[in-house]
Amino acid sequence: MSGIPCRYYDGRTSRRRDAVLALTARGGLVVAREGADERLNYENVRIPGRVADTPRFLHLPDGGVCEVQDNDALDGEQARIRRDPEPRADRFGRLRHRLDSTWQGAAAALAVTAAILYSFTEWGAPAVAAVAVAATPPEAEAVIGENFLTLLERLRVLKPSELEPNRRNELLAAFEEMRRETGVEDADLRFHSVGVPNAFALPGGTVVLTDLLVELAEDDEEVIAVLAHELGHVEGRHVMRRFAQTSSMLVLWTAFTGDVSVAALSFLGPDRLLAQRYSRSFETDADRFAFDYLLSAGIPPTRLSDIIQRLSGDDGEAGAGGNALNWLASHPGAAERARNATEAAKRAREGAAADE
Amino acid sequence: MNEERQSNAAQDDPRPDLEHSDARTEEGTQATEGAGAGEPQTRRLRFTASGREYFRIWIVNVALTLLTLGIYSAWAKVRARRYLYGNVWLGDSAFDYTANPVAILRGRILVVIVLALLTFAQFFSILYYYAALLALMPLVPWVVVRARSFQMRNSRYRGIALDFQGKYWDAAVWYPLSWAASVATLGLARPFTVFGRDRYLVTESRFGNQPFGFAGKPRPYYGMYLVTAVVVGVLYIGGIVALIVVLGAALAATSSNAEAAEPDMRLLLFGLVAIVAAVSLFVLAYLRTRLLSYRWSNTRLGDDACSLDLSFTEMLWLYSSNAVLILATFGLFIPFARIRVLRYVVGQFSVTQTDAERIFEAGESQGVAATGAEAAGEFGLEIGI
Repeated sequence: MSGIPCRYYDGRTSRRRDAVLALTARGGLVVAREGADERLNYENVRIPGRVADTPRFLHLPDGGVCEVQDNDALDGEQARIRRDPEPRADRFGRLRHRLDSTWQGAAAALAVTAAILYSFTEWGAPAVAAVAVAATPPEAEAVIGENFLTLLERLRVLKPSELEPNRRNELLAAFEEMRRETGVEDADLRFHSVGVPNAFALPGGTVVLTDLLVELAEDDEEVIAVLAHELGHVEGRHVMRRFAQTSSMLVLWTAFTGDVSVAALSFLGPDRLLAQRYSRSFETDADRFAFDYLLSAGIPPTRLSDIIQRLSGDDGEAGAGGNALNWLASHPGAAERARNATEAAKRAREGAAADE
Repeated sequence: MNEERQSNAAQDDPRPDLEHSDARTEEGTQATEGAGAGEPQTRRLRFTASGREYFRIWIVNVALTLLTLGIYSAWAKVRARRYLYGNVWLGDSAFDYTANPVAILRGRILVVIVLALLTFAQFFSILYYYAALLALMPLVPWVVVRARSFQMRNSRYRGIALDFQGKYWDAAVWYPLSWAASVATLGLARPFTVFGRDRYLVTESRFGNQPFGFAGKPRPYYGMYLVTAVVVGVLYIGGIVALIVVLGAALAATSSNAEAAEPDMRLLLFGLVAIVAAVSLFVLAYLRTRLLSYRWSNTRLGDDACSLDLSFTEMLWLYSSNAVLILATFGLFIPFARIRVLRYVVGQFSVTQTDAERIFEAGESQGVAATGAEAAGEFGLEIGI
């Protein structure tokens, strides 16, 4: 009998016997153990799909195992007796082997993976985040923001503000007016002292303004410009959306790498780049919101880019190479923001000219 | 590796005279001088997987997993495991991974449900979250036992399955209760609990009906943890001192106005990340290497002794170069990295057998009837142990 050489184990002991197996036309299988003149007949033994060139173990109904190392011979025999229609599991097994044993298959898989990762990053995660944030009650968001603020105060990161009460009231009035004009509901302004000039928005609509920023500003217009930018973050619920986007990306990276620890590693690399990109698009949105308000209040949008430029110490174009660095930045470059501000001002002038 | 492949191929030839095939000295066998039938022989495990083959399997798995919203991940796991097991050879037989993907899928669905409930609880109150976590504690030993026995029962060599027969209450002692003990003693009990956990995992394991034995002692665990603690302490203190010096120099170089504050923050953040990375890399390369080596080198199967001899510097090199390459290739190096580590670790594993022809018998759980019936209601739980 011609057949495929294999090793036969009876499943009760680890004794190995060399044997020959043959597939029958009815889908059965015959194992002839050499040495002991014995033939075993089986009906419908499932032959596992091929994985690269690793030995295939045929698990026999009586607990025995046939180990076949000659994969090509087994494939040939399987093809010879292939039934029509071919059982689904067998067809699937052959397809998988065709896919992952050739570079063409791997290239196709890589293309599919890249396309899915790209679309999820570009559209999926922001959409998921928008839905998740829309479903989060504002009260819950406010609690998160309040807890975070209390924590920062307790850790003495945020110290009480030393600004004059009068000065504070002026700015509060300006903020209140801005809030009413733009129709943003839950927003409030708090003053604190931190070692750096800064302003930031928290979940729930709290905007924190630091004393040093007020000092750094040449006049109130600049402070209002910064506050308008932060109100843009509040209006778009950017903090929560960013959190939701980053979380959903981590889930995707875990699926990609198949391992949470490796996903955590990629969290330092590729995923960071994506998070920064999201962050920049939020900054651009907030800038746009600020420009609109500033124009309506008769303040030149360039006042925002002026103070930002002074804040970052960035004095202009980084050249063509600046684009590569942009990938790494969480904020758009100061030069880019200045350009946007100038354009917004220009558009406003043109719009005004058209109205006349 | 090519050489090994060829010798495998040579063994595929059908041989007319098969009476003595088992007794033949196999490649990879280092028979001692003048070895007779009863003399001990040391055989190394061989690993014949290639990074390129594994990359193709991995990327197809990833694509299908993403396309099926994660459902395929169970099939992907079985396929990757089958590839890796099928490339581990002891003598002239490879290992066989027999897990049923549907069981793994059931297990993963269960885990996702639990995680979703935990996240949900977190939304209401952090108190609910901790309460839920505490309520899940009694499940931990059950998960440990299930995961371990699922993994072992689905690993076969020469038609004989491994097995794990650990009991719930022992798992409760060596997992949740040990964690509590480590915390309560500020980590002093940790080496002992790791020793106990290793002994539990090894001695409750079987190959067929032959239980594994463990010859390890608690004292070496204290040695390993002491070295780790000292080096981690030195790395932290040294790193922070270095950071202060660098920051001070940077601060002195630039005028200390408000504009300089931001670059300094970046430097500080970078320095802190670098210190944490150095510490984790050391712990991963040193502690893991030593723990694995010690556990396996003290594992016996009847009269057969296992040995695993991993070098710290080699593992440090593998882990650090892998991390850099994975980051640089946006993750595409992951499958190659896995094969590099496995090739080294598997290649350092050897078994010294007093009787190379010893025949092992299957355990009771490997009955014909048990396989089908049990698989139907089985949860393929997996955890990293």
